[in-house]
Amino acid sequence: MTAGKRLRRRDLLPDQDTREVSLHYVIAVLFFLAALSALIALASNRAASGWSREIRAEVTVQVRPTGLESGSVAAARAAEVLAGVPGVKEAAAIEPARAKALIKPWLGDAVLEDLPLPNLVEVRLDEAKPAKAAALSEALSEKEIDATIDDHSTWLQDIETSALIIRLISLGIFLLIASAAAAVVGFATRAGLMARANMVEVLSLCGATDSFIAGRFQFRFARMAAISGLLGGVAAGLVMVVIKFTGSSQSLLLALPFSWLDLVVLLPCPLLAALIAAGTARIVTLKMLGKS
Amino acid sequence: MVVFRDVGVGYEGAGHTGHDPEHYILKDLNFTLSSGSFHFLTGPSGAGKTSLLRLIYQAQKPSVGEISLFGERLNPSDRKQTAEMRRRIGIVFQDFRLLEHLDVFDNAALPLFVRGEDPRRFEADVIELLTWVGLKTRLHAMPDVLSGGEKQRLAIARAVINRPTLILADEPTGNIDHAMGLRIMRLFIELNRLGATVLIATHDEALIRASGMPVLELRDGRLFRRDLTQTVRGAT
Ligand SMILES: Nc1ncnc2c1ncn2[C@@H]1O[C@H](COP(=O)(O)OP(=O)(O)OP(=O)(O)O)[C@@H](O)[C@H]1O
Ligand SMILES: [Mg+2]
Repeated sequence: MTAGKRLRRRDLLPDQDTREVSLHYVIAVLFFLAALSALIALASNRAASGWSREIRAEVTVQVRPTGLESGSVAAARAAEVLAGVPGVKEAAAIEPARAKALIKPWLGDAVLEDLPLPNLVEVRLDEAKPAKAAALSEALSEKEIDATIDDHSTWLQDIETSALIIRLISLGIFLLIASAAAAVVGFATRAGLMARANMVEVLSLCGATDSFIAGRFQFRFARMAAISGLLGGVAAGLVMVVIKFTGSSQSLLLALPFSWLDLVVLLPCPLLAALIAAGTARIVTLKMLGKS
Repeated sequence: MVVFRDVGVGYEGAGHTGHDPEHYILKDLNFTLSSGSFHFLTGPSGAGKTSLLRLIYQAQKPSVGEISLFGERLNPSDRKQTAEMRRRIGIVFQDFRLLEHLDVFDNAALPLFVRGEDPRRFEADVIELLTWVGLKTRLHAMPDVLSGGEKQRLAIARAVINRPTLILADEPTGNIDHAMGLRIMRLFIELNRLGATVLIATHDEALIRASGMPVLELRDGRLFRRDLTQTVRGAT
């Protein structure tokens, strides 16, 4: 080896500039948060779609007693009728005892005794070809059963709205974090340029174009950010793995059903970090050199 | 090659802005350095030799007047033009301006590197030149361990490594002994013979006399061509 080691590496900046531990730390933390928010967004999105699929497959029918028969008899008849409608998997009247048990935690024993309980029929629809609410209602009125059908569409709306909000929030968080990372890199670039004003001037006196000088900073910060982004992404992945292994006992996995496939979203983390850092470093350097 | 037309320079100082012609440190500069010429630039300390060189390599804007280089009028706000012109100029700075974190080889090769050339291709050239200025055994030394004279020779090597068409040297022999000074002068004269235009700012009258090249002299902010018999204002 004869040529100096730096030119060989095509790396002109002094090492200590980006060995700054705090800078690595901040970028790594930011990308950890970004990766984590992406993972959480994926998981909660999956949870929401799971819930809405279940809700879509469920209909509750409330049967009212008529002069001819009691509520529970009517409910039993309604269950029978509904089970025969195409697109219905099963239909069952809810036993008064079970209905009581369901409500008890909210109301307590005292009130429950005198409370007229509604007569409900639980209907599970065929997920592939669910029966329409109108078809159910038609079948019931044909048999002269007085009933209201609740296909949970208001709930479904709620869940879908929540899923959209979660998606928007995580996109917002991601954009915030990315811009914070860019701001940190911009700050570091400015500091680096100022600390290396003499070097930048010598390069320029030796005929370096602004673009060449920007390239040095760009390369350096991209490399630094790629390493930090990798660390942040790996940390977020580890958190997910830990939750997946230990969270099944708690209800955490119910709310955040992580999938191993989600780890794929962590792959672009270092690249994304490098791109953000390179772009920022270039813009800041060119702007500062142009002013000098 | 280098044309100054009515150029004046003032620095901001105590009680004045530098725009006042009364405070100009260089004034009424009208001269041409023709292509392939060799000149010394002399004058007492503080006369403005460094300032004049800085005007040419565009580290300094003239307060008035117009400068042309390589047939093109200088536009200080055109950074691309500045970079392009500097690639054709080799500058030896009075204070060397070496990069402390680069070793001798890398410092010398810097002008080639910033032009995007491949270090492997110029390796032999750089070593040959460093050998010429007596730094062969110090290729991987860092500048802070070099003596003043070694730094100066490195600065000279860096200035001429890319075969510039214009060489500007500010006191290039200030820190080296007479013998090495003569050797360096031979290098400049050789490069001049190969076509480079050379302008050397120096106090060293012995060196000037030894080389017998024409002299431009700064006195009271004005430039004179030193004549054997008398000094005449203006120079060509
Ligand atoms: N950046 C500056 N700001 C203000 N004044 C300056 C600046 N640079 C130079 N000067 C002043 O301009 C004058 C000429 O300086 P210059 O460095 O050009 O002289 P010089 O002939 O190179 O001197 P020397 O032989 O000591 O190197 C001096 O009075 C100096 O103080
Ligand atoms: Mg000087």
